[in-house]
Amino acid sequence: MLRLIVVRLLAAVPVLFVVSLISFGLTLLVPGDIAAEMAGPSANRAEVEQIRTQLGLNQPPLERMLHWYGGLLQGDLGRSILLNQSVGSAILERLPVTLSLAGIALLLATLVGVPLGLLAAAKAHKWQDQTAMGGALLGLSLPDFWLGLLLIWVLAVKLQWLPSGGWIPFSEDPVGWLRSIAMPAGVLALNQMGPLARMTRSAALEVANSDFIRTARAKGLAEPRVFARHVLTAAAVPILTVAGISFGIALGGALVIEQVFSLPGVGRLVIGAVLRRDWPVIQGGLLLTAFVFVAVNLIVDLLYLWVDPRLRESR
Amino acid sequence: MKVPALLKRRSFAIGLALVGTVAFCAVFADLLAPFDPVKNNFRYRLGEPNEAHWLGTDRFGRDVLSRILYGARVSLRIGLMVVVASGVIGGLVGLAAGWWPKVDGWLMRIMDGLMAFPGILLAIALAVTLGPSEMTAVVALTVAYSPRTARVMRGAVLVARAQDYVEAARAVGVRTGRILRKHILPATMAPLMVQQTYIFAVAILAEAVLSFVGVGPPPPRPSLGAIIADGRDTMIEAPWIALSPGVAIAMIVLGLNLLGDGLRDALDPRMRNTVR
Repeated sequence: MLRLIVVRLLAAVPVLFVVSLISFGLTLLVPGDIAAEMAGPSANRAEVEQIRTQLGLNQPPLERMLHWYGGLLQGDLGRSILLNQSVGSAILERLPVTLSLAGIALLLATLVGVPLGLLAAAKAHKWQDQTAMGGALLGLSLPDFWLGLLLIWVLAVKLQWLPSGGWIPFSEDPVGWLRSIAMPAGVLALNQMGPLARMTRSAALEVANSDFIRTARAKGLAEPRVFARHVLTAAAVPILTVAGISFGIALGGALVIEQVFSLPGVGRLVIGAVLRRDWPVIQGGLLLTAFVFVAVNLIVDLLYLWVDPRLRESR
Repeated sequence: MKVPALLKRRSFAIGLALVGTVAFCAVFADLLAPFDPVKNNFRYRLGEPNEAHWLGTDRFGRDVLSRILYGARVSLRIGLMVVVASGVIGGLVGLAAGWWPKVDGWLMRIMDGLMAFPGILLAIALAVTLGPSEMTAVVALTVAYSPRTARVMRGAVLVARAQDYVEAARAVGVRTGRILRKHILPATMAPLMVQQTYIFAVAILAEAVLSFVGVGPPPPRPSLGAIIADGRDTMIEAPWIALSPGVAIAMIVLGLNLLGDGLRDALDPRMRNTVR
């Protein structure tokens, strides 16, 4: 068990190295003068030079890279010029908003998507199946930011049930928090529900004809129990895989949806940085979201071992 | 699989109808658009939908329907270019990784690294790095989504490679290039086509996001996402500007996903259970 965990952790190292190379290498691709662009058109030569020194742009690329990696190993992602704050703390401050948004969206998507997929599998090729799968497909085909605008228009502007945006921390007002996160999380969940329901259905259909399912039925188990207990357990690994991938997509979606609902998360920070060319923040944002994604998929890998005892021995 | 047999599959037929409708409107936008999509008309600012302007006008008095028709053209063009570029690049990477075990590890680590970023964030970062333009959007989305194609292609090559006829060809000394061309590539076309149909859908959605956050192709030729972004500020007075382009996007994306499902089921029944 422990050996497996170590092997998985080691396998993540080269991926994280590639991730860091890409995050750093991005600035090498910028065609113009980064310092001049960041300083703005009204800056004088001294201000541009100051930013250049601050970012270390007067050093050759290789030296810059070594310096960047040196900082990275000490947990230093550099400094945001515009915020005058360390990139690490700027992102960590906002990470809870983004993570709770993506997490709750995935939770909602799982709570709806998996039962929906099981229902579709149990009623395969009947109208329940077609309705459920049609709904799932429609959900994953709608642009998330557009759906957000639509919901704001209906639920906030017309019906005035929910606030149109803004963030209330859970610790201040749990009900307000729920109201502020309901729409953005709902939008993301609707997107993520589709792949989960589709995967659950096909994984369930795959095992539905197995001998052990027939045995379960033969011994007189009620159909819902057969599906909830035996089919779902056997189909758990592919469902978990999709959930892991979905988290990455939900994370990306959260970054975008934060713009629509004015939520103070990593997405607002990074996309704000993108529009104002604040490179250290862009690099740090890329690096940290990829890091979170790799960590989540590592956890998913370990969950495989938990849900499927066969995997504990064979590898 | 012949086309008439494909059309009997309901999902394929509905998908084709949806995509076909939007594609037709986009291709013939010059003939179909009732107004010039970029011509301002300040007398009809934020006009409600009426007989002349079916989907109303925006804050410059431009006809929203005409803008959507031309916007669909931009979105589809970018999506199509991403499909071709990621098909070629991802296809070649997957082919190399699947055929030569020596490069497999390296190539797939790079692909894993690229896929560790949320695709949309990587695309946004690349788009701003290279400077917003239509070509940039294509490059950014291709880099972000080619790894998916590479992964599917690699899997298909590994399957084909293990077939007896490939082994036989190698045994009698057929050159590698010829084996790849004659035996491996044809066997990978079905999964590749299905994957690229889904990539088309993803690319359309992602391009809309690029334009929405402001790093897409610059005006005056807006994609569907840019029209939504444009209408966002006037959501309360004129919701039709931001809401109607989304319907067009949803039609294309839903249609492409249905096409992909239909193709997948028709081309290879064994692929019915593969993850997207």
